[in-house]
Amino acid sequence: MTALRERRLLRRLQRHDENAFQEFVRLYQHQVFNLVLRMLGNRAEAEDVAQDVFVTVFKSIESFRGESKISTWLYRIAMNQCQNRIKYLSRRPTVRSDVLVESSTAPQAAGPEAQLRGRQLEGLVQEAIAELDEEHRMLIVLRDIEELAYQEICSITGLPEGTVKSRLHRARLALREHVKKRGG
Amino acid sequence: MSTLDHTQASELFSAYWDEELSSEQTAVLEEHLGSCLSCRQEYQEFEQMLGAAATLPQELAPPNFVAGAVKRVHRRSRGRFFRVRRLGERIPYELFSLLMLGLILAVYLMLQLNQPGRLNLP
Ligand SMILES: [Zn+2]
Repeated sequence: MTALRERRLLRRLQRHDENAFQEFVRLYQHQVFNLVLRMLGNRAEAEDVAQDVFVTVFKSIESFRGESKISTWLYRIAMNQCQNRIKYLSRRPTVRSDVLVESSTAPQAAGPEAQLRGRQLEGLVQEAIAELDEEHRMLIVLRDIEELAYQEICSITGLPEGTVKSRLHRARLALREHVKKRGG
Repeated sequence: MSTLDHTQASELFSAYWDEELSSEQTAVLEEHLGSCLSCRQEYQEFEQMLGAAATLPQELAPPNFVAGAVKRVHRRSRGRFFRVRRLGERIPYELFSLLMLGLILAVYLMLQLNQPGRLNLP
């Protein structure tokens, strides 16, 4: 979205325009849902948290001064709510991970063998991400899945760039270990 | 830093993947990867893993997501959140209160006029 379009939408949101809210949710729903699902690993939980993210956005839209991109702010809210939900769920560990159920079906251009290997690796990586501790998972999701710039990750997490880089490196090594354990 | 051991080499993997190494560091790491089979394999696997992470299919929000979010905002704010409806779609309280104020002022002035002795108006 261009900066101008973003500012226009923001102005309408700040006027509590319901159509603007719908437009906003439509624009960002998949990004937010995907992010939250990668963090929580469960579709029902992810849908619930992702909707709460948009409610929070709307409730606090007046306080948004445009010092970062809307998407950065949105991601920060999403990550906060994921962390709260993870804390909450850890006290009642009945929610199963179901992130693998419908995924890994993306078409790939390579031959059947490479395709199988790619899909297997994707599955392993998904399972391994779910095993990372929360902060490692957050960094992997933001950098290696969402492919955000370091500067953006710093605004989302509130960590300095050097810390993000060194912790991300630890996170990648940890991910590598989890993938290895699973035979990848 | 002219040569690397295996540990030093693997410490550079992330920055290499992100293309954040200086050209000098890049050259040193590439030299090590060129001559060390185990680090080369390690890096290849590291690269494949991050490649797989980047190409994970995007999971889509369920089809009723937007409507659900709108409903949730309405429910949480008890319908008060979205912009106040335009005049004409609701009782025009602003107009009503102006009329009331005018009426009160008129009554007050009439009462004052009925008591000429106590009229203080300029
Ligand atoms: Zn080596």
